[in-house]
Amino acid sequence: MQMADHGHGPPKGIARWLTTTNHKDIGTMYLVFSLLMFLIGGLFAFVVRAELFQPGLQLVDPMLFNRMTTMHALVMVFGAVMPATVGLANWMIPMQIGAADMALPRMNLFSFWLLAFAFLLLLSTFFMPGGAPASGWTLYPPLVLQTGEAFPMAIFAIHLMGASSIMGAINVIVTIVNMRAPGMTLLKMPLFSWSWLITAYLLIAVMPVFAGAVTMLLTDYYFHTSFFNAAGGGDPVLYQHVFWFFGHPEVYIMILPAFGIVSEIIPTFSRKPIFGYEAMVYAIASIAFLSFIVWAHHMFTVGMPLAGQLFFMLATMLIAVPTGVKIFNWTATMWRGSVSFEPPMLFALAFLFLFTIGGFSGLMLAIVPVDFQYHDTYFVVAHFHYVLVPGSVFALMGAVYYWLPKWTGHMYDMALAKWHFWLSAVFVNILFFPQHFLGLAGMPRRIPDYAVQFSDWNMISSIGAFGFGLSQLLFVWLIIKCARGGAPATAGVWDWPHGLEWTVPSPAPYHTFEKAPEVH
Amino acid sequence: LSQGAKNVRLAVALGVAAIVVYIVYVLMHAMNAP
Repeated sequence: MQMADHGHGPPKGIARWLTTTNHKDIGTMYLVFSLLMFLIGGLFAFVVRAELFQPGLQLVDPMLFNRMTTMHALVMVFGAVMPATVGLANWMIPMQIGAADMALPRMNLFSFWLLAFAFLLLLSTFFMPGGAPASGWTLYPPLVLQTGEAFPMAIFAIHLMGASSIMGAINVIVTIVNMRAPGMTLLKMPLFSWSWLITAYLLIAVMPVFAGAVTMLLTDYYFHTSFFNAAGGGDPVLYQHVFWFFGHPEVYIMILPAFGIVSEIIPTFSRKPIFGYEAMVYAIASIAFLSFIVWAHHMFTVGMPLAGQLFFMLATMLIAVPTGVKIFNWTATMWRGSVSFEPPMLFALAFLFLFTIGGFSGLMLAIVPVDFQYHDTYFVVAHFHYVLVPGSVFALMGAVYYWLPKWTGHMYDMALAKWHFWLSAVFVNILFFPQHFLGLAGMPRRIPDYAVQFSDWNMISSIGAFGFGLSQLLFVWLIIKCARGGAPATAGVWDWPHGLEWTVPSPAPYHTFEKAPEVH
Repeated sequence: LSQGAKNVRLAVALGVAAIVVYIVYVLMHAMNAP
């Protein structure tokens, strides 16, 4: 056994997970944490869709409904999607660039436990006087200032998860900048690592802005400042500007690693190198840059100067150019490739089609006069769920199906994975596509009741939600089954493996690349 | 410099950058506050 030979394998039992500084263990913890949060956030969405199954109020009171929408978003964004990408970064970046571990392993562990504590705190706000925040994940004042005793706890939780994200981002940058194997120049680096390098810079640039915004909320609440209080001469719209200066790059923080994943999967199952590697890198960098100058498209209706509206509209539309480059290059990678449809590829292909639908509805929303009509309707809900669920989440699931044999050393149940894919792909469209119609017809978002003319599509959407939610149990079962056993996986796993992670045995040994590999 | 020292140096620089963004953002708004 390699581990025994080295004499420093992992400690046994719970101590391993509490004290580990191994990037693979920490990656596993992030991924398991993320899956748990995905289920909890899913449960909140379940409550929302159950209430919206029929018009009228039947299951929960409106206040709890608002808590559910708020906590669903906070848990999914900060607890499920972001930690999943961090988990993948932990597992895969050192293996992709030929490093022995992350650059700062102790800080890595600290980041994880800080995040776990932050979510314990955030979820415990349900049991505090006044209950969990109910203002929407954007925490707009003055509404958010009506949160009860839980308010400072929620803010503290957000500060902690921000600190955790920043430390995670620092770790990624230092690892990639300082610890690449000899010969692994930046422009030889796999696109997943590239996407994370750029994401990490985005995190460092914008998480402190969010921290600043919520700190100002806190001082408005406790120290009678008037940053956002109109009665004291402040301006609630200022909060929206500050929030979305963070919030829009945050959207890309959730999607860029997904782009990286898809850029790994499509070449493998097309048995061809990625088309336009350098263009892919520059496209990610361009999208990241543009993410800083489009924030006000989230708030066209607040009443801004025409020049501002035009600038933010045109800058937003500009994002379609590098995004189009990526979609084109993924398609061109498949062109005349020897394409096969294993589960990771199915998820990547669904990503390609369904993320593009979300991109197109984003372009519609970017048009100012059109946005005046769609703002705060279910059309927006449909748009960002297309980008985040069959976008980010499908890519993340594709990543799990792509690398799971490398992590566990076992092949998983392919038939079950395909069932999971097809059920998810069908139900996710039943869930979110009708929400476009509801929004265009004028149904407002974040409302527990609605006019009867919206009944049919809401019922269909809820049926899609229940189906999608239940389908995810297959995913959980498949992962548990694969972790416990299965046909042994080879080092390469797939027909056309490319990259350093496929040169080490499956499961990847506890320590990899203690002697840096030579990259040519 | 050892690899570890280089790592810590870069990490500290990035951490300081994050803290500076935070302070500048809050201060910028504090100075404009009514």
